[in-house]
Amino acid sequence: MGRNVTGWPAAAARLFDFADQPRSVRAPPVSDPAAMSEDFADLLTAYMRRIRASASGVATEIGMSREAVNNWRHGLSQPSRKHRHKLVDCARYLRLSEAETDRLLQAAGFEPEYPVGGQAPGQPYADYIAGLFERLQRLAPYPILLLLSQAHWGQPPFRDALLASAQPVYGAGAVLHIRPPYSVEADVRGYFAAIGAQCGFAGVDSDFAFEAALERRLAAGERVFCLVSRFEQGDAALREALAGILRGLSEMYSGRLHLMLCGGEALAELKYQSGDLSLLNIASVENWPDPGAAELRALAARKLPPERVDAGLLARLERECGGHPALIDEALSLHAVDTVLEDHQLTECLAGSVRLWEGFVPLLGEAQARGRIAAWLEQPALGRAQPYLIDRLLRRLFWANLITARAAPQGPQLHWRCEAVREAGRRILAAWDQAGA
Amino acid sequence: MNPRLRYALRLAVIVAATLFFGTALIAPQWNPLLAGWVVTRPQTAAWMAQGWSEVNVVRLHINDYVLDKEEWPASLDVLQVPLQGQVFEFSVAQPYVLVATVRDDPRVERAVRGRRVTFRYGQNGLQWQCSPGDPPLPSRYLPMNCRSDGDNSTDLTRWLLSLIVMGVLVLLAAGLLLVWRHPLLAPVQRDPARLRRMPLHLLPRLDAALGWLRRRRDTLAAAGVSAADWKQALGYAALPEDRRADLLALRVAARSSPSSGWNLPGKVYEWTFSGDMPVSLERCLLWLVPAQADGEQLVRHLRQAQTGLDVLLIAGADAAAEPALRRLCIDRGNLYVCLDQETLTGLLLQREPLGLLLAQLARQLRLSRISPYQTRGGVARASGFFGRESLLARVVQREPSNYLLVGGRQLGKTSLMKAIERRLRDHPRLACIYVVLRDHRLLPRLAAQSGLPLDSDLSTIVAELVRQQGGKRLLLLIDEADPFFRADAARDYAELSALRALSEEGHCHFLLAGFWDLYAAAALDYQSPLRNFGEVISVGGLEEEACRELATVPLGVLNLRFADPALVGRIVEQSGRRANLVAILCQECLEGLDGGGVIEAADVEQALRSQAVLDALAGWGRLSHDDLASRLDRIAVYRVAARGATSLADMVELLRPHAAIEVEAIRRAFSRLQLAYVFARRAEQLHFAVPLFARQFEAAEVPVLLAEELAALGAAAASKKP
Repeated sequence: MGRNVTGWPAAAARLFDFADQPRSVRAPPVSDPAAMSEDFADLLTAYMRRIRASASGVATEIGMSREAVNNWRHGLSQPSRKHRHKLVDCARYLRLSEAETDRLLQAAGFEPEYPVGGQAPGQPYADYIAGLFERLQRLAPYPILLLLSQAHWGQPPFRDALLASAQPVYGAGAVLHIRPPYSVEADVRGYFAAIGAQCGFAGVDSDFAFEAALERRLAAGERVFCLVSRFEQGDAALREALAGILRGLSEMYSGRLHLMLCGGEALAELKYQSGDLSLLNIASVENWPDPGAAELRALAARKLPPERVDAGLLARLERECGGHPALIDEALSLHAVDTVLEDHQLTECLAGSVRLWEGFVPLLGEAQARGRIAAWLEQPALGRAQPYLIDRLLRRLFWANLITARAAPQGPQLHWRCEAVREAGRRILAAWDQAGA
Repeated sequence: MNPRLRYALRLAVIVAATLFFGTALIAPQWNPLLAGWVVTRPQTAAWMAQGWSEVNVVRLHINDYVLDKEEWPASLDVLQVPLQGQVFEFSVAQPYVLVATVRDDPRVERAVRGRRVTFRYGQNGLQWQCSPGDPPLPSRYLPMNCRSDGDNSTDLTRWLLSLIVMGVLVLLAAGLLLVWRHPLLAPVQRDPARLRRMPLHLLPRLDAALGWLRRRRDTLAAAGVSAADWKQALGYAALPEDRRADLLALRVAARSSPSSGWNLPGKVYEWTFSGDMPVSLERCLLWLVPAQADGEQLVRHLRQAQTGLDVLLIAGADAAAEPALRRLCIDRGNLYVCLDQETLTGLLLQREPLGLLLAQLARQLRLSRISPYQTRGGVARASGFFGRESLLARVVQREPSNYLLVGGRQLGKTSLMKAIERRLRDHPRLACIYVVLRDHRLLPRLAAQSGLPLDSDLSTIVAELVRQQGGKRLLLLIDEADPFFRADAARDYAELSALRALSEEGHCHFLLAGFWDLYAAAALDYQSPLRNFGEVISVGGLEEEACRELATVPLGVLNLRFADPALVGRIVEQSGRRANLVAILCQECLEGLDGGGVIEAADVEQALRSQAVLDALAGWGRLSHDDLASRLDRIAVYRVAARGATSLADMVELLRPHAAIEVEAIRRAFSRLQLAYVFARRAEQLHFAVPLFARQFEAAEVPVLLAEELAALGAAAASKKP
């Protein structure tokens, strides 16, 4: 099977060109400029200027031509629907926060990538976040936590809330936030200069300088909390150097450096597969949990008037969305405009979510994988859940946030998140077969 | 006992005691003890007076007879007098000796009946000598001239004397009661160890009482309390708050520093515990509450305050305030620990005060918050390291040399290196330096460690380190050395050769720890300079006895235990004697225990099924940087998961239809998996080294996984064909 420049199966790319392409219920017409709340070209230009990124640099990172990026910047064209994921890559390269990423996507007329989780502190998951810090305290002498989240959750979700919660625990000055540069072309100097600046260390121009600056604070007896967002992104060697520094300092100043490394599938692979980074070997793993009733209530209260947020709605959100953040967001948007939506109609609409299609399509390149997924789609449960799923296909379904682990008497089991996900899977497989035929 | 009956009994005792002492003072003749013993009974005295008249009559007749006959009558019958009077019966014991016996008459008190008085006739005159007979008549009823012991006391003197004796006895009894029934003294005298559990505010009173009784030194000695500690405890309450916090911290090997910004009355301190703290608590807060504060008010302050995620020790509350605080702290869901007055005394007086603090933490916190098990990373504290004595001896008890420490991840290489560092810490001629490599760059790392420019050469770095260590020889413990070996191998082991040359000069030796790259170069590559670099030490499973200690000793710190020693055996067996798995399983048992007590079989089975165990077992899928090697590893693992064992022949047969794999590659895969402690060889077959390892796989998925890997192997082999 041929591959396009981004590595997606050609058949997958073609899917987005179907005339009757399934669209999210929230997806506004791409060509409708009125739907854009901000000018995409201006926003992209501002974000690129902020890190002095060139059009060719962006183009190289996201696998597009320089002309295409320049056309976006100058307002001559908009990213097409099939290039939404490239815009997400672009946002990562430009080191945008979750909120900024969503702003850029919405300016281009797309759904937000992080529909929940980028909000202000004091919001859902406050108790869970407090519990995270409590758990971190218990991990002496190496308080290192890997916070893993599935697709459509930020890395970490509710980052501002996390940082705000850390401040009373460690003191405002002792909370550091590292966002490793995304570009794989960054050199050591630039990489650690950027990280040093994020930590407020002056004059950092090498890995040793960064290590020395952080060590000075620890040697002074200070207890430092360091949140590393999207740990896995960027150059592997530089990431290894950063991990080595953090591991060494954690070992040397036992208990003083509290680390929370955030990421998703790639970070899990680094921990469970390669084992090269001993920092990850000694870290404890925490998976970002599905929203419970309290979280659903808080999320619903943002989009619906209080009188419509009742137990029935929450039960329906839980049942029909299965804890998928993007589906919850879409379901709430649907409820905002349609007050008499039936369950089957909701499932029908959600099954057309572009986020589900983007989750399934990259997994269907191999016939064997399609066959296994088709069989699984007919099963109520997909087997036993484990901290690290040995089956690669199950693993990818999990990180794409299409399946989840749910408690059962015989131990946690893997389930499809909801009926809408199964329905989406069936439709995509059918469409794939049709396209192949 | 029925309260009414008890009340009646008490009333009766009081009445009886009042009567007893009242009669003794006012009417001794009515006192059951004094009457008839100390004072004469009036009736008996009157009766006896009549008896003496009878005696006089008999004696008169005898006098007459002797004067008349000049001899003692052969029988008293000749006297013609009644020999049986109302009081006495008369008889002759021998010539010239008259015996008067009190008759058994109910009108005479019992103590007098049958008693005798002897009268001896003086042959030189008419003098009679009177003396008590056998049995003797009580002295108080005898005439003065009859009392043999010169007793000339009267009822009055005897009464006064008896009052004095009773007074003394009452005082003695009161003193004994003071000691044996005193709420402070009594428990301490019965069990001197209780001195260490007395409320702190009572110690000055107790000290005064012990001093008054002159029992202080003996009691302290019996309680095992030093005089200095006792003095410190007595003065504790008068100390300023900062010194109180320092004193308590010193007792539990912590450092105390004031902590500001708290919205709490009194003062808050931050305690940092030493590295030898046997549980996972590196710091906590101490709140010294103000004296005479109301307990409910303190609780309200606590609920309002943001105490963060640190354990908060609450000390110094009055006895009246303690119940409210205890009610709050007994909830294990919060992080408050009430150090009551008894605990404070214990902290100040016990020889092992840290144990007492741990017991309080275990009682008032979730056990998982203060776990004594370290489940990840190198064990730095001596109390958490068990076994490996033979491996340690190979390094510590020999002349310094080079070593290559090889073993899988999380098997205990770092813990062993830290143990070596601890054992050699006070060596007179050898300095041990532990370095963690974070990438392939060894020299810049060592240069940074020694404070030299990063581009310094090895000899300069070593010279500087030797200087910093006062001229001692160096043993550099270099952890995470695999990236270094990979990079150095690409440069024909240039840096390794330099290390070797330096060690041959004798100034510096190296212990390098790593996994596969190090092992492959040292053991499998015959051309590698590593082969003669140093002795290879393999780290595998822990000794069985050490595993048992690892499981049980930390539990003892929290006063917990396994219900049955066989449960420890099951943990050791299922973990394959892998130290981190033993610790994880015990930690999971603790998580299930949380209410405190004893670990039962169900707790152990729950731990064996836990996600934490599965999490610890993952991470074997890519043991090598070579994709083909990693795929062979996975195929071998799936084969054992499917069949229970494999062998070289079995693997060759399995792989042949899919790809032409060299036998040497399979052998290396087996070596790698054995080094990683995934496989163990038994009876020419390879099995899982850790029985729990098999729990990762579901029977239905293993054939699929194996088929997928074999297909990928075949595809890769096909793509390489020209």
